[in-house]
Amino acid sequence: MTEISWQRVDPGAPKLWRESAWYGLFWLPIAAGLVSSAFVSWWAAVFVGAALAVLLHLLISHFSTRRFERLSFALADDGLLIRKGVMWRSERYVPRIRIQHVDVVEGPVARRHGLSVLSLHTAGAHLESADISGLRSADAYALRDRLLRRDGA
Amino acid sequence: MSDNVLPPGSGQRLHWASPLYELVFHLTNMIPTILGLSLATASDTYAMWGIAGIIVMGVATIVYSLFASRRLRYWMTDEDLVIRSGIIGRTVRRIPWARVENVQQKRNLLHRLTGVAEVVVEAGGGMNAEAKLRVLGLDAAAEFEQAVRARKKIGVDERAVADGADVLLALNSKELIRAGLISNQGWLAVGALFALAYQFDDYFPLGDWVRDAGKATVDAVGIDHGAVFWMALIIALVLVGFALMRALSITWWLVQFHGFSLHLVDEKLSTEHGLFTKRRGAAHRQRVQRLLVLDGWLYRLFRRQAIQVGVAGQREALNETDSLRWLAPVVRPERRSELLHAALPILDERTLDWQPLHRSAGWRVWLSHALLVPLLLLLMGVSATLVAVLVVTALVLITLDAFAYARFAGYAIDDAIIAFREGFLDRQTWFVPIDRIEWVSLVTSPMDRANGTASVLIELRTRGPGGRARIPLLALAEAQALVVRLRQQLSTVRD
Repeated sequence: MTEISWQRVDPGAPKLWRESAWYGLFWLPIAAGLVSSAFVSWWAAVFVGAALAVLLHLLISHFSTRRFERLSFALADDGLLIRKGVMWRSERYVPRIRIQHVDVVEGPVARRHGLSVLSLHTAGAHLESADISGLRSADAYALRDRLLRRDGA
Repeated sequence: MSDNVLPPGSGQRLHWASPLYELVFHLTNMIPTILGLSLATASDTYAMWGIAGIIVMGVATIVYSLFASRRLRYWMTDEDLVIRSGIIGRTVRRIPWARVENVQQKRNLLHRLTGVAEVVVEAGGGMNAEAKLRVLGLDAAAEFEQAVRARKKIGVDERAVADGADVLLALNSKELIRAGLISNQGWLAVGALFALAYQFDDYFPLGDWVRDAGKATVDAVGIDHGAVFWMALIIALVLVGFALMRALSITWWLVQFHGFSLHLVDEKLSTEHGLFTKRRGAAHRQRVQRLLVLDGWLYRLFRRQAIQVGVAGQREALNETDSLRWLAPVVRPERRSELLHAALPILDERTLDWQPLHRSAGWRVWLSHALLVPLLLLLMGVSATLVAVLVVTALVLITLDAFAYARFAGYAIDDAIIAFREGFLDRQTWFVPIDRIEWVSLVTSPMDRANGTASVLIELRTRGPGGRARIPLLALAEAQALVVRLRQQLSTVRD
């Protein structure tokens, strides 16, 4: 086992995560505004919606930044190490010989940012795979090729 | 080879009686539909339509079963098992031998009367990864298993089993009664009984009985009896329920595990059991992912233990009766090491050096359980005395449990095995061969970081007994050292 150097994902990743999070949550402030309009006057309802939007934005930004700070990976001779997680933090070691296949996924939003997700699949019985989100696509493909090379170069 | 090209030769056929079993299978699956149809058309006006529907479905099933079974062919090539099926269209399935994890023969009463067996091939990877040959004659089934075995070193060696050679463990009825008393399978039996009663509800109006019991309870609730009455009632109900469950549990064990035996033949573990449905399963020793020893308080009371095994490819959907889940449903503690060693030759329990968990383990377990105690306040409306008694009892039990847990819990690692034990009332210990680990992870929760602890998560190729392999509440430095050591040992593994 040689010493290893930890690498960060692309600095543009937090922006992508923020954007993706908003695609999933945009309806929440709107719904909150609509529901509260049944109980309070319309300008108070707009205020509730706006306040929730600001709060969500702060939370999402905070977690995206923290996620970026916590996420790093290292390619070693014997496999891949991945550190991640804000509240529940993990450092996972996937031995090279256990890697069955590697996927590079470029989602529609991620593609616009030029980023992709690298997923490692093993024969483990629990479906979760080890993945690294927010890699520059060229880096993701390069990493995939290096992982699949048996000589570990 | 392209997917739709069949191997040379005309392939092998199923047993001539196969359509019968195919029919039985489909008809059993149709029972709910038929019941639904007859209920929906119960009124006179539509009765004819209901009967017509059932007849059409029945005839269609008979025709389908007849043709489907007659049309099926299978080939065993050097690389894979090829199954061609379909009446009008043609479906060709290929299961590479490399992916085959296990071969099972299922024989229920009907199978045994007519001398046939249903052969199930379990394969790893992906959903629906099993193939059923319904049914083969006994000779053909044995031949099939031999052929798979020759390619894969799995399956059951008929002769060796028949000779009774290499029997590691055989259980008589007395031992099974013990298993029934110890390991509560009562709920499974209750489920089965309800299902049965539902089908014969003219004779056993279970629904009416439940309603009568409910009425009696409601009448009793109407009167204010005070805390003593309630406690007496709860204790009486618990005791009666307990006794009933155990009685059912014993019956369940006697039926499901009748004639249990465990064999080891050329590197292969196999078990055989069952009174009405004979179950038999086998796996190569190399496929053992984890051994789990159960040693709860009832086991200790009866001076027995149980050993379960997780084999590569096992799915969560496994039920308690599945083959090779129980290496030993009950075994004397003296024989435990020997059986563990037989299943995992690299495991020698006596040389393991057990290490305790972090010193905060006791109160961390205490806290996780004590947080549930406030829920008891919900009973305040019933009786304040009752709540006081329950809270005090719960706190005493939780405290005893947490500190007994911390005293027993620990882990051990050597060059080949990583092991973990935990529990107080439900003691259990697992052993995992390091060279079969898929990946490892060091995990810390916010609580862990406040306490300087961490847990180590180990991924295996099985969803079998014991849940995920996780060693919690380790000192952070120890957890890190453990992961480094596992990594070093894993990096020398060759596929």
